[in-house]
Amino acid sequence: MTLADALTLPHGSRVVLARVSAGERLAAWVDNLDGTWTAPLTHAAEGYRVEGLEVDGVALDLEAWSWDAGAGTVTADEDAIGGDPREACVVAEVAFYWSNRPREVDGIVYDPRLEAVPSLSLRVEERFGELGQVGTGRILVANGDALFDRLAGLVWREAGLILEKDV
Amino acid sequence: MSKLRLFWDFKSDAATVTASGAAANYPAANVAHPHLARPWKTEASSADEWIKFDLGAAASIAAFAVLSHDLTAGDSALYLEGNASDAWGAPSLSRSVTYRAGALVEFFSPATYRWWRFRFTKATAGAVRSLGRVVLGPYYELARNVGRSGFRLGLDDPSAVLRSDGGQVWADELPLARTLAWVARGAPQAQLDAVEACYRGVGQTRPFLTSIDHDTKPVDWLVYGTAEERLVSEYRGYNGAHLWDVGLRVREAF
Repeated sequence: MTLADALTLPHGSRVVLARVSAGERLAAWVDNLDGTWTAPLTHAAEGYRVEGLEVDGVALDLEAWSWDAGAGTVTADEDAIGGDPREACVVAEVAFYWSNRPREVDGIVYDPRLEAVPSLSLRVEERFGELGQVGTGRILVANGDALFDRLAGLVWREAGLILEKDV
Repeated sequence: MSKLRLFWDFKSDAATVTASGAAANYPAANVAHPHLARPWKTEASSADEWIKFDLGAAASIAAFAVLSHDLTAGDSALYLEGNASDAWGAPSLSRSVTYRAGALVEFFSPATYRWWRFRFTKATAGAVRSLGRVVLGPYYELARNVGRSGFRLGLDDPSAVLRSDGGQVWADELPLARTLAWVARGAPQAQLDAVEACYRGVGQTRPFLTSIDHDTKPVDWLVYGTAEERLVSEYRGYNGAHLWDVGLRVREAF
């Protein structure tokens, strides 16, 4: 059955995928004495992915840093940082991937933490005829294991949320 | 026919778990997570696979289960092994595990070892196998079993269904969940104590295993689920003996 066929049916499985991003200020840098520095991720056990690194608000190239998921560390190139990272504000962009049903999409495992399909309204400006701004919405994330309590140390300012729909 | 068995004290959940290898995003430690949808997946480089548990100290083990697996009848040499040390040339316990689609379950005489390992050989080296949950621990078998009408098995569809005025159905499909309700009447005090110990261990939050009759229906009558309501036992004093009607309601967990 093709997707087009599936869409004609009155029954289906509504799957919503969410990417929630935040920042983690990195500290306790260790000089590897090979032109790179390594810092531990304080919340590495909480199941996020590190997808970016910013130094004093400027994003580094992907080649300038690496993330070791097993060790829970980030290693960055000293030249790219512009010197000693202990004298800069280095923030890792961390992303959580959640869904309302277990899914793996493009090699990313989505933790089924969304309690239900989120509601979201989009405002359409009549005079322009296009989607205007996001209105109100409600997304419920299961916190029975107190995940968010443990994540209080993350930088949530300028955090992002992307919702996608899958079948 | 065997009596109903409760398997809840998963010693393996607190163990250090390692494996022959793991696919990206699916580490061996996933088998200790209650969600079946978070499995350990093997790599696709070798036919021989194993997953190993270091319990930290010797513990008495009498039950073993692999849930939500996709092993096939073509896979071979399924063995559960136990040993006092992390050496597997000739482990003290080596028990053949019977292949069954859906779930592998073994009950056996208690054996006390610190190290445990489940190994198997895939039909082909390039195949990937997924194991949702692997558990080891003791179990309790009812002294006074459920009667002939002592348990009810159900299947619930929690799908969200909307109907138009015309009666047409529009549905968001959800997985079907098995339900189980059982009661054993006139059970001795020791049985009540054991069921209470189970309930105290799992509450209504932690999934555990109930095997209604392992000899007759090892998989069809096996439920991995959480208790659905409070545990209330009814006293049945008889000729000076303290007897109880005791039972549980369980809903399948995923």
